[in-house]
Order: sequence, then C-alpha cells, then structure tokens
Amino acid sequence: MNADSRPIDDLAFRRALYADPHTNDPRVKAAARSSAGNRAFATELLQLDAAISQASKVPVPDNLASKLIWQGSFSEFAAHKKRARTHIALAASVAFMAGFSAVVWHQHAHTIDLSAEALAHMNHVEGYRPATVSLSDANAKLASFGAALANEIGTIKSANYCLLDKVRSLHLILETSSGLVSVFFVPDVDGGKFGERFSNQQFVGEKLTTQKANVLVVGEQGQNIRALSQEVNRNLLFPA
Amino acid sequence: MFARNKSKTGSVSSDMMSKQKRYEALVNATHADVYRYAYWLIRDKAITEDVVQETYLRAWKSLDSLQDPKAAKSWLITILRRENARRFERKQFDLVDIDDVSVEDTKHGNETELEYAELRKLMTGLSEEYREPLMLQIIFGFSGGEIAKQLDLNKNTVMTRLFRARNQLKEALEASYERRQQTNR
Repeated sequence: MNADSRPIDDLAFRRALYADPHTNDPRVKAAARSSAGNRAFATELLQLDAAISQASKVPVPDNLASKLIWQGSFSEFAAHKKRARTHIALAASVAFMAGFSAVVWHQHAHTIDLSAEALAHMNHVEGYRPATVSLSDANAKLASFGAALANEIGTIKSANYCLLDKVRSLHLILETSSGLVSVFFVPDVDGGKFGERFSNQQFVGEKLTTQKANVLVVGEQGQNIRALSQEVNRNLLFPA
Repeated sequence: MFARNKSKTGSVSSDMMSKQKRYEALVNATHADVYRYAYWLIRDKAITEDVVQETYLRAWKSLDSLQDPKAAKSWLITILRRENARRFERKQFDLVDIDDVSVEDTKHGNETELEYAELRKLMTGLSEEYREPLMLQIIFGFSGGEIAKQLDLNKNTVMTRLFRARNQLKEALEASYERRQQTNR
C-alpha cells in the first residue's frame, strides 16, 4: 500500500500509459499532471488510441446480422425436426403419425436422406434475400470440398454453410443462363444417402456424378433441371 | 395424453420464441464488434465471415448456457477463438499469407484517411500476441485483468504486450511520417 502512494518514475509512467492510455491509476494521473512534458505525452497517447480505435473500425458486411439471425432460425428448424422424430418413435397411433408432413416422414428411417434434406432446406430458405458473392469468396469456401467454379458460371447470389440434418454442407445459389439454381456440396457421412433424381411439390433436383464430391443441383419445378445440372457440371472444376 | 402433449408443444414453441428473441438481441448487440475483432485476428474478410457464422451457430446452440447477459461478449470471444483455432486443425484451409492480404485502401485522399490506412497496415503487421490483447482493449474496452482472463495469461504479461503493441505502432507511425516528410521535401 505504501508503494502505491509513492510517485512513479518516468519509465514506469510511460509504460503504464503505453499499456493503457485511459488508465485510472492515481499515480499515473498524478505524474501526468506533474510536468508539461508528461502532460503532452499523455495527450499524445490518447490521440494515438483514438486513431487506433478509428482505424480498427473496418466495415462490417451489410447483411451480416440478418444472415446470422437467419442461420439461427434455420438450425432451430432442424432441431425442431429432431424433436418431432422422437415423437414418432413414441407414438403408437397411426392416426397420430398421419398428421406429420412428408418431410418429417423421411426422418423415420435410420439413414439420412440428404436429397430430401436439401429439398426441405429449399422450402425453408425461400424468404432469404441473397446478395452477390464474388467468385473468389465462393471458391474459398468451395476449397474445403476440393472444388472450384469457373468464371463462366454466372452470378453467385449466395454461398453459405448450412446444416442438412446435422451434416455441414455448402449451399450456393447461382444465377446461370438457364435460370436460378441451388447447388449443395455435401460431405460423405455414415448413413448418408442420395437420390439420383428427387423432387417435392415445389422443387426438383439431381445428383451430379462426380468422383470427388457429393453435388446436388436443385431447381424449381418446371425448370429444365437436366440443362441446369449440365451447366453446373461444365463449370465445376476439381483442381486438386 | 394428447392434451398433455399439446400443452408441452405449446410451451416448447414459446420457449423457442423467447430463445429466438434473445438470440436476435445478442446478434444485434454484438455482431459488429465480434466481426471486427475476428477480422483483426484473421485478417481475411471471407474467412472472417465464415468463422463469425460458425461462432454464432455455436452460440445459438448453447444459448441456454449463457446466464449473465453482461458476460455475453467474453462468452462469444471464447467461442470465436476456439472456432478460429479449429480452422488450423482442418488442413483444407490455407493460412493467410500476410503479403496477399489487401488492406482496405482509402478512397478519400485526405491526410487523416491516409493516416488510418497507414495505421491499419501497421496494425495488420503486428504479431498476433500483441495484436490480440490490443484489439480486446480497443474494441471491447476490456481491462488488463479481463484480457488476462480471456487469453489465459497473467496480467503483467498482458500489460507488457499492450505496452509493446502501442510502442511499435507509435514508432512505426513516426518513421513513416518522417519518410513522407522527406519525399515531400
């Protein structure tokens, strides 16, 4: 305690201000008042700190908050389905089960039907308004699947990770010359299975036959899904 | 049985509603600071956004474990640092080569903006052990003790690193200022 009331030397004063220009330490504050030189030094460091603080404010992406919120509600959607699954297991009544939608029905099997998950995901993301993503940003994410997109692919409207059941996948939304299309990159998982072609009332999809990754192409009903998946296939590279 | 089931479902969805609201409040209150802190940790915009997304996905999943809203920031920072460390475990991700990082260039040519751009470049070049505590102090206003707790270091170490971080920045700024003066002469 005694040491605390003793004035500090010049070196300690400077070190303390460098470490925290806004310090409330009474000894440092007293030293700052003790001479014109010290006062100038304290002011100089406060100015430096204001500049660092200003410089640290890099622009935050415009849609980041809504993306994060959207992502949270989507994972809630997945968790909700999991609860529904336990209900199915418990319920003895056929009438009870009839109340569940076809999407939840798919959950009953022990395998994960990832094509159906992709379709369910499509229904859920409809309200999401995507922005444009640069090719290099999309390719940075695609790199973890060993894939890349060629320049000619068209506009990339969105490139986000999503959970299909519990499988972390990459969901791209592309605006190609054949129309808007979703492309899912899904890793290999135990029990994961895919349909070669799959659809529900709104969407239709195909699995691309590539050796290196599970790629699902999904478009709206009525779109020429063959043309879409050929276009995606032409522009998909596996550089590794 | 059905009646009970129904009321249970009802309370589950109202829990969900309030969880959703808490989560939205958390995102709105913290995402800008957390993004900036992540950016200064990672120094690459695309990877930063990914890591921030992963961070909030984890945060959502364990939102119930966050009891004290005042602890939200340090809780998120802990998750973020873990997510960032995981990035190095996955070999697919290339490390950011600092020479390739394009530091946001200024569009306005005025002196202050030039200085910020210069400062950003210098901050990017600080070594991580100096950069990280400095950013915790600058962005979140953490005290030395709080930074020590967050980074699992002792407080003296933190104060020394903060001292060196500012000292390096100040000297480098002065050196670059002198260089500019000489070219202007």
